[in-house]
Amino acid sequence: MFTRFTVPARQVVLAATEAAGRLGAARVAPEHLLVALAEGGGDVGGRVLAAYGVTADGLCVAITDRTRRAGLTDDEVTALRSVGIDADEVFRRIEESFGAEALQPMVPSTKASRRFTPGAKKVLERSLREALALRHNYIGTEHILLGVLAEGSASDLLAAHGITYAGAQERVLDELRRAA
Amino acid sequence: MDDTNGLATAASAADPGTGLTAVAALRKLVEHLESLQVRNARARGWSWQAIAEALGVTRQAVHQKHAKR
Repeated sequence: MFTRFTVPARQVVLAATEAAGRLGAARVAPEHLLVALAEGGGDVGGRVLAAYGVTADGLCVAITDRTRRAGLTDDEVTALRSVGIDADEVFRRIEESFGAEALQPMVPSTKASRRFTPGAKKVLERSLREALALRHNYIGTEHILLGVLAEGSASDLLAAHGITYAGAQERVLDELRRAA
Repeated sequence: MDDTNGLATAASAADPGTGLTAVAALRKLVEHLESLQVRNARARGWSWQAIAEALGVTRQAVHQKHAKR
Protein backbone atom coordinates (compact mmCIF):
# COMPACT_ATOMS: atom_id res chain seq x y z
CA MET A 1 0.00 0.00 0.00
CA PHE A 2 2.91 2.36 0.71
CA THR A 3 4.38 2.05 -2.79
CA ARG A 4 2.42 5.04 -4.05
CA PHE A 5 3.36 7.23 -1.08
CA THR A 6 5.66 10.17 -1.84
CA VAL A 7 8.86 10.51 0.17
CA PRO A 8 7.41 13.31 2.39
CA ALA A 9 4.27 11.18 2.94
CA ARG A 10 6.39 8.24 4.08
CA GLN A 11 8.29 10.58 6.37
CA VAL A 12 4.99 11.71 7.87
CA VAL A 13 4.03 8.11 8.66
CA LEU A 14 7.42 7.58 10.30
CA ALA A 15 7.33 10.90 12.18
CA ALA A 16 3.83 10.04 13.44
CA THR A 17 5.20 7.01 15.29
CA GLU A 18 7.83 9.27 16.85
CA ALA A 19 5.18 11.84 17.83
CA ALA A 20 3.10 9.07 19.42
CA GLY A 21 6.14 8.08 21.46
CA ARG A 22 6.82 11.63 22.63
CA LEU A 23 3.20 12.05 23.67
CA GLY A 24 3.31 8.78 25.60
CA ALA A 25 0.72 7.01 23.44
CA ALA A 26 0.83 3.24 23.11
CA ARG A 27 -0.40 3.33 19.53
CA VAL A 28 -0.19 5.71 16.60
CA ALA A 29 -3.50 7.55 16.23
CA PRO A 30 -4.81 10.05 13.64
CA GLU A 31 -3.78 13.01 15.84
CA HIS A 32 -0.14 11.84 15.65
CA LEU A 33 -0.35 11.88 11.86
CA LEU A 34 -1.51 15.50 12.19
CA VAL A 35 1.46 16.42 14.38
CA ALA A 36 3.77 14.81 11.82
CA LEU A 37 2.07 16.73 8.99
CA ALA A 38 2.55 20.02 10.85
CA GLU A 39 6.20 19.17 11.57
CA GLY A 40 6.92 18.48 7.93
CA GLY A 41 5.94 22.05 7.15
CA GLY A 42 7.52 22.27 3.70
CA ASP A 43 5.24 19.82 1.93
CA VAL A 44 1.67 20.51 0.75
CA GLY A 45 -0.11 19.05 3.82
CA GLY A 46 2.10 21.02 6.19
CA ARG A 47 1.75 24.23 4.16
CA VAL A 48 -2.05 23.97 4.29
CA LEU A 49 -1.93 23.47 8.08
CA ALA A 50 0.48 26.41 8.46
CA ALA A 51 -1.86 28.61 6.39
CA TYR A 52 -4.53 27.98 9.04
CA GLY A 53 -2.08 28.78 11.83
CA VAL A 54 -1.72 25.19 13.02
CA THR A 55 1.64 24.35 14.60
CA ALA A 56 3.00 21.02 15.78
CA ASP A 57 3.54 22.43 19.27
CA GLY A 58 -0.02 23.74 19.46
CA LEU A 59 -1.37 20.36 18.40
CA CYS A 60 0.73 18.59 21.04
CA VAL A 61 -0.68 20.85 23.77
CA ALA A 62 -4.25 20.19 22.57
CA ILE A 63 -3.61 16.43 22.44
CA THR A 64 -2.18 16.45 25.97
CA ASP A 65 -5.26 18.36 27.19
CA ARG A 66 -7.51 15.80 25.56
CA THR A 67 -5.55 12.96 27.17
CA ARG A 68 -5.98 14.59 30.55
CA ARG A 69 -9.73 14.36 29.96
CA ALA A 70 -9.64 10.63 29.17
CA GLY A 71 -9.64 11.37 25.44
CA LEU A 72 -12.93 13.27 25.51
CA THR A 73 -13.28 16.15 23.06
CA ASP A 74 -14.84 19.53 23.91
CA ASP A 75 -18.01 18.46 22.11
CA GLU A 76 -18.21 15.28 24.14
CA VAL A 77 -17.74 17.14 27.42
CA THR A 78 -20.52 19.56 26.37
CA ALA A 79 -22.80 16.66 25.38
CA LEU A 80 -22.23 15.00 28.75
CA ARG A 81 -23.11 18.24 30.50
CA SER A 82 -26.40 18.33 28.56
CA VAL A 83 -27.39 14.96 30.06
CA GLY A 84 -26.39 16.13 33.52
CA ILE A 85 -22.84 14.83 33.83
CA ASP A 86 -20.06 17.22 34.71
CA ALA A 87 -17.08 15.41 33.20
CA ASP A 88 -14.64 18.06 34.41
CA GLU A 89 -15.80 17.38 37.96
CA VAL A 90 -15.21 13.64 37.39
CA PHE A 91 -11.66 14.36 36.17
CA ARG A 92 -11.06 16.72 39.09
CA ARG A 93 -12.02 13.98 41.54
CA ILE A 94 -9.87 11.41 39.76
CA GLU A 95 -6.88 13.73 40.07
CA GLU A 96 -7.76 14.33 43.70
CA SER A 97 -7.93 10.60 44.53
CA PHE A 98 -5.29 9.17 42.24
CA GLY A 99 -3.04 12.09 41.34
CA ALA A 100 -2.60 13.85 38.00
CA GLU A 101 -0.74 10.83 36.55
CA ALA A 102 -3.93 8.76 36.73
CA LEU A 103 -5.27 10.56 33.68
CA GLN A 104 -2.07 10.22 31.71
CA PRO A 105 -1.80 7.57 28.98
CA MET A 106 -2.14 4.04 30.30
CA VAL A 107 0.90 2.52 28.60
CA PRO A 108 3.71 5.01 28.04
CA SER A 109 5.59 2.64 25.79
CA THR A 110 9.05 3.23 24.37
CA LYS A 111 8.77 0.45 21.81
CA ALA A 112 10.02 1.48 18.38
CA SER A 113 7.58 -0.70 16.43
CA ARG A 114 4.45 1.07 17.48
CA ARG A 115 1.17 -0.21 16.06
CA PHE A 116 -1.42 1.99 14.36
CA THR A 117 -4.92 2.39 15.80
CA PRO A 118 -7.84 1.31 13.58
CA GLY A 119 -8.53 5.04 13.12
CA ALA A 120 -5.00 5.73 11.88
CA LYS A 121 -5.19 2.77 9.48
CA LYS A 122 -8.46 4.14 8.19
CA VAL A 123 -6.78 7.54 7.61
CA LEU A 124 -4.09 5.90 5.47
CA GLU A 125 -6.66 3.91 3.50
CA ARG A 126 -8.71 7.03 3.13
CA SER A 127 -5.69 8.97 1.84
CA LEU A 128 -5.57 6.58 -1.11
CA ARG A 129 -9.21 7.32 -1.87
CA GLU A 130 -8.56 11.07 -1.56
CA ALA A 131 -5.75 10.76 -4.10
CA LEU A 132 -7.97 8.78 -6.48
CA ALA A 133 -10.80 11.28 -6.10
CA LEU A 134 -8.43 14.09 -7.14
CA ARG A 135 -7.06 11.89 -9.97
CA HIS A 136 -3.57 11.95 -8.51
CA ASN A 137 -1.33 8.97 -9.17
CA TYR A 138 0.59 9.39 -5.91
CA ILE A 139 -0.34 9.66 -2.22
CA GLY A 140 1.11 12.82 -0.73
CA THR A 141 0.93 14.62 2.59
CA GLU A 142 -2.12 16.55 1.30
CA HIS A 143 -4.04 13.30 0.90
CA ILE A 144 -3.08 12.20 4.41
CA LEU A 145 -4.39 15.54 5.74
CA LEU A 146 -7.69 15.08 3.89
CA GLY A 147 -7.75 11.49 5.15
CA VAL A 148 -7.47 12.71 8.75
CA LEU A 149 -10.36 15.13 8.18
CA ALA A 150 -12.48 12.46 6.47
CA GLU A 151 -11.82 9.87 9.16
CA GLY A 152 -12.97 12.42 11.72
CA SER A 153 -11.60 11.34 15.11
CA ALA A 154 -8.94 14.07 15.15
CA SER A 155 -10.90 16.66 13.20
CA ASP A 156 -11.93 18.43 16.42
CA LEU A 157 -8.27 19.48 16.79
CA LEU A 158 -8.54 21.14 13.38
CA ALA A 159 -12.07 22.48 13.85
CA ALA A 160 -10.60 24.66 16.61
CA HIS A 161 -8.70 26.43 13.80
CA GLY A 162 -11.74 26.60 11.55
CA ILE A 163 -10.53 23.80 9.28
CA THR A 164 -13.20 21.68 7.60
CA TYR A 165 -12.80 18.91 5.04
CA ALA A 166 -14.21 21.07 2.23
CA GLY A 167 -12.11 24.09 3.19
CA ALA A 168 -8.93 22.05 3.40
CA GLN A 169 -9.60 20.40 0.05
CA GLU A 170 -9.93 23.83 -1.56
CA ARG A 171 -6.64 24.98 -0.01
CA VAL A 172 -4.92 21.80 -1.17
CA LEU A 173 -6.01 22.48 -4.74
CA ASP A 174 -4.85 26.12 -4.41
CA GLU A 175 -1.46 24.98 -3.14
CA LEU A 176 -1.09 22.47 -5.98
CA ARG A 177 -2.04 25.09 -8.59
CA ARG A 178 0.50 27.47 -7.11
CA ALA A 179 3.20 24.79 -7.15
CA ALA A 180 2.41 23.77 -10.73
CA MET B 1 -27.69 25.88 37.59
CA ASP B 2 -30.54 28.38 37.15
CA ASP B 3 -33.87 27.68 35.42
CA THR B 4 -32.97 29.12 32.04
CA ASN B 5 -29.79 27.13 32.01
CA GLY B 6 -31.68 23.98 33.03
CA LEU B 7 -34.19 24.43 30.20
CA ALA B 8 -31.47 25.00 27.64
CA THR B 9 -29.75 21.84 28.85
CA ALA B 10 -32.94 19.78 28.68
CA ALA B 11 -33.64 21.05 25.18
CA SER B 12 -30.22 20.14 23.84
CA ALA B 13 -30.33 16.66 25.42
CA ALA B 14 -33.50 15.98 23.40
CA ASP B 15 -31.43 16.48 20.26
CA PRO B 16 -30.33 13.02 19.02
CA GLY B 17 -26.91 14.31 17.99
CA THR B 18 -26.14 15.62 21.46
CA GLY B 19 -27.73 12.64 23.18
CA LEU B 20 -25.81 10.08 21.12
CA THR B 21 -22.54 11.99 21.51
CA ALA B 22 -23.15 11.96 25.27
CA VAL B 23 -23.67 8.17 25.18
CA ALA B 24 -20.47 7.63 23.19
CA ALA B 25 -18.59 9.92 25.58
CA LEU B 26 -19.98 8.02 28.56
CA ARG B 27 -18.63 4.77 27.10
CA LYS B 28 -15.16 6.30 26.85
CA LEU B 29 -15.46 7.58 30.39
CA VAL B 30 -16.61 4.19 31.68
CA GLU B 31 -13.69 2.40 30.00
CA HIS B 32 -11.28 4.89 31.49
CA LEU B 33 -12.75 4.68 34.99
CA GLU B 34 -12.86 0.89 34.81
CA SER B 35 -9.19 0.53 33.96
CA LEU B 36 -8.29 3.12 36.59
CA GLN B 37 -10.32 1.39 39.31
CA VAL B 38 -9.11 -2.09 38.36
CA ARG B 39 -5.49 -0.96 38.48
CA ASN B 40 -6.09 0.66 41.85
CA ALA B 41 -7.79 -2.46 43.22
CA ARG B 42 -4.93 -4.68 41.98
CA ALA B 43 -2.38 -2.30 43.53
CA ARG B 44 -4.25 -2.69 46.82
CA GLY B 45 -4.10 -6.46 46.60
CA TRP B 46 -7.62 -7.24 45.41
CA SER B 47 -7.97 -10.62 43.69
CA TRP B 48 -9.31 -10.85 40.13
CA GLN B 49 -12.26 -12.75 41.60
CA ALA B 50 -13.12 -9.91 44.00
CA ILE B 51 -12.77 -7.29 41.25
CA ALA B 52 -14.97 -9.34 38.91
CA GLU B 53 -17.68 -9.67 41.57
CA ALA B 54 -17.67 -5.93 42.24
CA LEU B 55 -17.93 -5.22 38.50
CA GLY B 56 -20.60 -7.88 38.01
CA VAL B 57 -18.67 -9.79 35.34
CA THR B 58 -16.79 -13.11 35.23
CA ARG B 59 -13.27 -13.42 36.54
CA GLN B 60 -12.10 -14.53 33.07
CA ALA B 61 -13.61 -11.42 31.47
CA VAL B 62 -11.95 -8.97 33.83
CA HIS B 63 -8.64 -10.84 33.75
CA GLN B 64 -8.59 -11.02 29.96
CA LYS B 65 -9.37 -7.33 29.64
CA HIS B 66 -7.03 -5.93 32.27
CA ALA B 67 -4.30 -8.42 33.15
CA LYS B 68 -1.85 -7.33 30.47
CA ARG B 69 -1.88 -3.70 31.48
